Amino acid sequence: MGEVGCSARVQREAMAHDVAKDIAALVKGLATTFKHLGRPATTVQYPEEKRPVSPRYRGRHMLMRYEDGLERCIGCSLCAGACPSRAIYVEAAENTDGERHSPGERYARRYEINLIRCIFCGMCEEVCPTQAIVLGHDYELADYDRADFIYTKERLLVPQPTKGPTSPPTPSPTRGGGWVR
Amino acid sequence: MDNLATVTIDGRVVKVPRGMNLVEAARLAGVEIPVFCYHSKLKPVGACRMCYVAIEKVPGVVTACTTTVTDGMVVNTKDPRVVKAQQGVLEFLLANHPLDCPVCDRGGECPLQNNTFGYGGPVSRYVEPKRHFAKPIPLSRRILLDRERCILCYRCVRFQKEIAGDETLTVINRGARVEIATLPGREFDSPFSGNTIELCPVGALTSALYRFKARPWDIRSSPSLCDQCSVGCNVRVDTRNRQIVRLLSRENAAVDDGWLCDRGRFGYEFANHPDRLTQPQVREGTRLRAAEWEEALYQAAQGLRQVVSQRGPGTVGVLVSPRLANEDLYLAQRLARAVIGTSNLDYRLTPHPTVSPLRPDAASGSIVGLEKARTILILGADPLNHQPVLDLRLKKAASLGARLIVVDEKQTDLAAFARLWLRPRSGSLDTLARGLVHLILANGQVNQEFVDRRTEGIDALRARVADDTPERVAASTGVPAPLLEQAATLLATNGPASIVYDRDLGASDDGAAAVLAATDLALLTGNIGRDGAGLYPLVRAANEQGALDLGLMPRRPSPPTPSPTGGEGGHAGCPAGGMTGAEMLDALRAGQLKALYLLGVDPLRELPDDRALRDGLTGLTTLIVQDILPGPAQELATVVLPGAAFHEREGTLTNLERRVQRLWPALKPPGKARPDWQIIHDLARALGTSFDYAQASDVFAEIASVVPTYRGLTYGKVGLKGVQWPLDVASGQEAGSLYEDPGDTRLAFTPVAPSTARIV
Repeated sequence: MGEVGCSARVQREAMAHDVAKDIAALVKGLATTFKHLGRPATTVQYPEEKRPVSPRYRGRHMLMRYEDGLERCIGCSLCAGACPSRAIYVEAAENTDGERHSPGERYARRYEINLIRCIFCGMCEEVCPTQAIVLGHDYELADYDRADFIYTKERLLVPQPTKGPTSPPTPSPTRGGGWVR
Repeated sequence: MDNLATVTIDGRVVKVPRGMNLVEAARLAGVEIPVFCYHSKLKPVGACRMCYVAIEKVPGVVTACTTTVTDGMVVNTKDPRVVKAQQGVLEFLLANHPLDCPVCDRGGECPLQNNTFGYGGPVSRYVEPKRHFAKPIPLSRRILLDRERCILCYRCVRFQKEIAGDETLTVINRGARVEIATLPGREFDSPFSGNTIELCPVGALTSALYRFKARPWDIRSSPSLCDQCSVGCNVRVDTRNRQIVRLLSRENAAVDDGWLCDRGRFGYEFANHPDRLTQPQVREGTRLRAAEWEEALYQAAQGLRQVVSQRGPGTVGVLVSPRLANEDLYLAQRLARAVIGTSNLDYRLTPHPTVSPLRPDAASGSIVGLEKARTILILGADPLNHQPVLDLRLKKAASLGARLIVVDEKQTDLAAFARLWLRPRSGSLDTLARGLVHLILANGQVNQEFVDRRTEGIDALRARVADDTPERVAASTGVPAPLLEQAATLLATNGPASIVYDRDLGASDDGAAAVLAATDLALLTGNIGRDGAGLYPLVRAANEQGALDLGLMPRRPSPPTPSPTGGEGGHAGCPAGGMTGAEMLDALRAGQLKALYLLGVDPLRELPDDRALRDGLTGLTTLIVQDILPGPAQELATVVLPGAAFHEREGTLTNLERRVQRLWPALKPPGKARPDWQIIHDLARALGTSFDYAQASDVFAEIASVVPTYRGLTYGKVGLKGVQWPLDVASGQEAGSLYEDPGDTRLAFTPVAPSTARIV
């Protein structure tokens, strides 16, 4: 039965070893903590503070305007055709001289994106012939009501005309009635 | 075979008929030759130069559409010279064609886009400004022209000239200034103008109705039928957002040859109407209020039951629309005859016409059979107004060499295409028709072999027309005797001859006798029972033929009621006699009807304003109105039941050539509306019967089992192209012509007194 005493001793030794190891780990961990205490933080205090996103980030869509304020979107529905999740709905109508929304004959009377369906792949932006739809940098899209995820044209359209050296020139009407750049 | 030529196209060897052009031959070989101006239904002009091919031993490249095959021809459509030439053609076309595809209604289904993608060069070298025009300009209320997009293939101009025959479009100016235009001061007022939209290989001619409504990828398509007239043209229904956005032709060579009339193509707005009935309504005091189906059907059934038990089934009437499908009509007549127990059942509100004594009461030939005719007598019929696409078929027959004889006081559209136009004075149509019979008999132009073998009663006929000599006929009709002589000779000697007349012609006294004489003419000349020779009484409404076939009128053999044990149950409990629609309306005016079931008809809308009729409808104990749109009769109804339109249901329609064709649901009925057959079924169940049809095909299966002419038909057999009844069950062959088989029964010349041939 001497084996029992032997076993108890072994156990005591092992316990002492474990405690020493735990203290060493604690010291090591705290050392890391104290080492970083003085360094600048990598996290930010979201939502008070926000990181800039990549310039190519694909966030919520925007419908752009020309410099003169006309909508770029001509309601061609190519974005809806290209959309792999069928999240876009476009209803076109005819511009009149009295009520002109975009250059040329056609504009989008209704333009809706279902952001629950959208997978932010950017195909709509890729296919747009007038660079009207652009995926912006807005990613704060949480909401309380499913219906509010249907982004209508009013919500998507940028308020101000977009200016900048890279934007293509505003189309102008020709004598015959067409529009050219 | 002598009439076949062997050609090699891109290494594929095919045998094609001599005289065929290379575009068609390549199609048979499975090789695509790109085209813009070529169209298989139009004469080739070689205007667009897109169909270049290289042929061995022929210098340079040639246009395939204007080259006919010869035996041993070796054709290469991928020759470097061809590729270069086609790239050049496209570069020139795109020099002026605007790149506004994103806003163009043709974008996505455009031959110019497709051919540029398939055969065009990588870039355009042309950097100068394109030509500009005001866009678009309306050619008519329906059609818009964008001259910037036009590539001058002249398909539209050629269609109007060659197919429609009205030359409403033309080419103006010269050289680079060439434009498509209408005649000065006229709009594009052809009744077939919509076809040019489909023909246009670019977006130059577009529909004002479809403008910006949808892009091709937004659309769901479904096969269907046009229900505007009795031709039954096959259409493709394009829908978006539960609305029809356009109807396109779904070519069925036997019926429409790929064309639609504007009435059919643009006449779908009723189906999209915001006022469509979506909810059953029941009367509460002076007003109608919305109700659930159970309540509405219960009220309708109670109302009918009450009238039947108190006043007898003879005071109940059922009026149906001849635009309803066979399934609706069949169940309606079963409801009336077997459930309510009345024969006051009709599809017409006006008196029935006298019809040819030949049975079955239908056109003996087929629409496509008219192309084989050498002579066509058009007797008091105006297909342009009542069966427009048949008008195109008659013009096609004329262009294939048929001599048209138009007999009409009015100058109908076909008169301009006729060899002879006989203008009898008003009311003398019968005299003229009898005069033709007299002439054929007197000149010995009778088809004696046919008359001896197949007919009976020629002696009585001879006696009856003995007095109708050309001199007398000329005097009373005002048609010169030599013209009559020519017409009779053409009919008798230039066979096969077909006789086309308006079935409603028989409603007038002279028309009735003329209809009977037309039958005599067909029998005398042996022109019945084969391709190109037939008697065509033209019905008008989409399923009028179906209404005739299914006995939707009193005093006509009704389909037997199937008994629960499966055999034919006979007509027990179904009273003979019964009132026609016109008689029912008279009874209504006299206050003798107590209950009326209107299925898709509204007498107050279809007949001139009639105080007595309105009072009669007001005085009804029960007025059940089943329709898809509101109408004046509904204001007086006790129950209103919302039905489904043609594109929202299954069913079959029978056209003027006995072709049973299918409807498919493209959309769901709006709101709580239901297909008409289902409503009748539900109403019959509410009346305590054991009607049990789960779907429209069950009703059709019963029709096929009890109506002899529909025997052997199933939805599967009817398919996309339809079947002409009667189907030969053994061989599966449809009947292009009736009366082909001599059989034992002889065809009778019409009896002396026309009134005995009156069916109603």
